[in-house]
Amino acid sequence: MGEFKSGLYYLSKKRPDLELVPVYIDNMNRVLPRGEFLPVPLLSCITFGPPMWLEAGESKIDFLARARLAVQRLKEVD
Amino acid sequence: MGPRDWVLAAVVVVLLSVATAVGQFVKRQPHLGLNAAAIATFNRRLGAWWIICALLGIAFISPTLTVALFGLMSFWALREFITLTPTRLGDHRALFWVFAFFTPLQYILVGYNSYELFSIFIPVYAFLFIPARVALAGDFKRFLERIAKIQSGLLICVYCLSFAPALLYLEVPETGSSASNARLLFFFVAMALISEALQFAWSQLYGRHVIAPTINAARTWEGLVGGSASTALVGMVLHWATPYKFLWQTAFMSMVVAVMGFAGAMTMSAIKRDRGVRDYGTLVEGHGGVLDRIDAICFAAPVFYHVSRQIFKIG
Repeated sequence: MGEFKSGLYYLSKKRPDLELVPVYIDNMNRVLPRGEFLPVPLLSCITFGPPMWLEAGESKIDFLARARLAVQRLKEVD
Repeated sequence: MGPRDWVLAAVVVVLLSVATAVGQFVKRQPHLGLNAAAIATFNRRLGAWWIICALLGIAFISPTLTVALFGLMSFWALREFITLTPTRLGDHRALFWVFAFFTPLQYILVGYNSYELFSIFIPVYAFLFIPARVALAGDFKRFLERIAKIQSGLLICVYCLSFAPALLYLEVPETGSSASNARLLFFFVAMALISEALQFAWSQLYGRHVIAPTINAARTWEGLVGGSASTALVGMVLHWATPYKFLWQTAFMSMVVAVMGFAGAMTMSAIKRDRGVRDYGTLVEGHGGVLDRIDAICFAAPVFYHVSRQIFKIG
């Protein structure tokens, strides 16, 4: 899984009232691989994690790492 | 629907009810020392069989709708099969064609009863297209293994299963009405169900010699032989519902269904063991295991169709 882009950080900084819900879609790389436009209808599984927010005074790097970890954890649950 | 169809429907409902009652009874009798996991599997199977028989009732009303329903079942089973077997990025385009083109077209050809086309469409055209398309994608790693997986999935889940609704288009000599075709499909599915139940019962009661413990610990030689023989007896009782001329033909066809159903269940077990799963249904939470339920029908359908058509000259 690649590093998260900083847009997520700026979004949650501007709208701190919004919940960020981590979602992991299993099998996505097989259903629709990067660069393909026709999906293959394989079975998939969507896992939702607990919502998270930008903590007060949290740095951009810390926040993005925490968000990435939240999604990563869902992959291991599955 | 004539009186014979109502009798057949009643027979099926009674048999299913008896099997369900037996399944529920042995579940509540732990002191008998029967294999609890096998009983749970049997009860789950029965639940699915109720649904399949209800769907088959539609065959008496609309053959086209039955073909479409079997097509959906194939589609779902193939999804489970391919999800379970690892594929690589290079297989993506070939898989897309398998799902979007070959599967629906096979059932359209069955619906138009073009036997000359649907009997060779997948074994020739899809069989050759898949390796060529994967080769074009340029990934040669474990090439033969990957194309074999896609071909096997398409042949078992789509090609083989499509012969079950194709029974609706055989030209049954005696009456020529579509109800006698629907009865033939019903007979086929009922035999598959009954052989499943009887093989289970024989294995549980008299099973001593497990055939392949590493593949399926519940299948025994006693279950196979006893189950097939008693399936033939039950089939002979249902002889009046079939288009076969002689009683021995009906008995033979019942045994064909029993033996092929056994072969299908063993093959699918072997694939599941290799992938390290118990059921296709437990693959992804919340998705039913269609392939677990239809493995016996998949193997029995093409042989049943072919023997009926070519050897007993129906259609």
